Amino acid sequence: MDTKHVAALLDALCERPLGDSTDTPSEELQALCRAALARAGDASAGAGSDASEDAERLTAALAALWSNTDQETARRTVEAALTGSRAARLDAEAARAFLDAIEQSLQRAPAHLVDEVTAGAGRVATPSRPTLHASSWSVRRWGLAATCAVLLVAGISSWSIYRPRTEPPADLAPMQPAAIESRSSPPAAESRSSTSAAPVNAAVPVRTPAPPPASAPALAAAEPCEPHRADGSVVAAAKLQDKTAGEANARVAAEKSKREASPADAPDCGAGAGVEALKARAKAAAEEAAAARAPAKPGLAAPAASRAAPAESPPPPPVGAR
Amino acid sequence: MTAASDPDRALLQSALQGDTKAADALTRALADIVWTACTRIARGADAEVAFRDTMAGLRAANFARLKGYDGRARVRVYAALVVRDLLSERVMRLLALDADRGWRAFEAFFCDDMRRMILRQLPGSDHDQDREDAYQSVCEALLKNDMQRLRAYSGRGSPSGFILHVIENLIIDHVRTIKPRRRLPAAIQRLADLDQAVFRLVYWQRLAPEPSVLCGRLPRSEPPHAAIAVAAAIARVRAALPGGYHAEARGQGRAIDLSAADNAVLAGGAEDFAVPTPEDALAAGQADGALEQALAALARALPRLDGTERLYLEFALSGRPAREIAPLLGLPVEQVHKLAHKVKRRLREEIGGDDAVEKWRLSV
Repeated sequence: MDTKHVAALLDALCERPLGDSTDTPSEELQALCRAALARAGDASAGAGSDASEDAERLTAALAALWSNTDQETARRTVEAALTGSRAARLDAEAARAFLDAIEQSLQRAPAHLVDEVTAGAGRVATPSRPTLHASSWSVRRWGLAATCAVLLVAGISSWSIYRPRTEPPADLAPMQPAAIESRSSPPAAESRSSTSAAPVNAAVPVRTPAPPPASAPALAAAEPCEPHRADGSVVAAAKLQDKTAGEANARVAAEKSKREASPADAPDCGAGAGVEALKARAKAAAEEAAAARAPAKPGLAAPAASRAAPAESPPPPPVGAR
Repeated sequence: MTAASDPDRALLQSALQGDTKAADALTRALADIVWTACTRIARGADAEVAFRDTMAGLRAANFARLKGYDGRARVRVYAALVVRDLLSERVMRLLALDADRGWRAFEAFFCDDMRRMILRQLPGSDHDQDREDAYQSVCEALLKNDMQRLRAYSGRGSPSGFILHVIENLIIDHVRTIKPRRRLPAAIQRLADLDQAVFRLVYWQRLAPEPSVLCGRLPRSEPPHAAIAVAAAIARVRAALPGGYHAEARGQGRAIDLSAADNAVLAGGAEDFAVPTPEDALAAGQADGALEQALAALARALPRLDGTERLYLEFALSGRPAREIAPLLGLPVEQVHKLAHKVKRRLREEIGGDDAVEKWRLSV
């Protein structure tokens, strides 16, 4: 057999990595590589799929090799582990590709996930916490604050809507008795004449004290989704009416006031939809709060400290420096 | 940055000792790496689930998975490798629990590796269709019998190493099934590279024998192949082929799938089913003999090489380019080139090829 032909074939094998990767090797060289790999695979099949018994040591050595630190020692360890083990070689190659891919497209982890992981671990570490709820404490804290803010806004808005109704323009006729009664300190004579002039079926004149300006938002904020309580004066009027007038009249007055108050108080409130809407608002507020907390986008592989002060942090070194 | 000045190192040491603040700080430091890794294999809610799983695995028992860190590497590099292990273990768990979900995770995790390995075995632009066929074939083989091959993992060693080994074996098996059918006829082997490339495109990929079609599909060259040169190559290929060899394209520049190609070859009485000429048989015999000799020389030489040389040769057999071998060995690319020449010399010494080649040169 022609030795120089075999030598040329082995030369081509040795030079194969040096060529352009787009070049197609000769059929003969490809056949040689396939046969050699297949025989190596058959030989290593009996020794197990992964000859590297000490995977941790190999991982540490690969990491050192690819961190450009302690190269010589790491290379010896890697060579010893990879030589003769196809599985280890393939794994190392894939690991390197994995590192390169991460380095090239490092993405910022969502803050809520990181918070969740760290807070979740904190709860696990302290068993005195009541429950292992899915949401983290910090998230819940922000959510609670946001909900309170939304409820406060809703209360103020309901009060602002309520207030014009309690002080309608003077030229509006017929004037609602309850509204009249709710005016602060009306003269007794005027009150009586107004009461007598009111239609019977319009409303029962009740002595409904106008809610103090400061307490109305507070009431609304406390229970904004209950139409019965959305207008605090209505409840108070109904109770008062039970004592002073007939029970039926009081119910009529309360229901009428309720009909008037409900749509204005909370157009999307007072039912399940209202709760959902509030939750949505709370969620939106929480997201805004979280967004406000989040720092500007840091550089690749920013250290932990840079999350607090991203603008001042230097660009961190990439993962897997060559 | 050196490993000693790595700020994460102190964090890791404290976290390993149970310091919860350090554990949280380390979690935040590694979060981007974990998240990026998870987004490579999943999207949206799945990525978030993968992130939670991976972080839980990483943080478990005071970062026990990072206990193997020996202080020589940068923590983030070491952690990234551990994260990859965790993700591959998660893939194996999903495969055991939910085949559909597990397979999706598996394919997302190993798709790039599979395609890279296939490209090595089937390089060149004339193998586009073959590569796609190989990918499908490997996936089918992995899914066969309720993923028996994947479920054979015993839990010993790296799961990704085991899986990649299985995949490479399947790729080699697949390539062996198609390569024998693709042996160039002896008459074509004597022609120039351009002629052989034209033959492959026209007779194997069924492209129309027109220079305008073939020019865009030929392997790159400097300067690019001119249309007139390609037309001349077509003529030479036709002249070299024996009579009755007519498995040319019926369509206009359209590649067809392998099964259809088989039918076309059968109908056309092409090389696979043609009776080999004595010249073909002789060439095949010589090639087989050279292959066996080369394999024997490799088997003798490998144990005598030092670790780096042996590893280089093993990487070369897998078809890895120097630029990929260099980081794997922790060497500059120039050093890999020197290594190649060193290994070549050692192999020649092994087969006595130096003398043979020298004699051959003198005779010329």
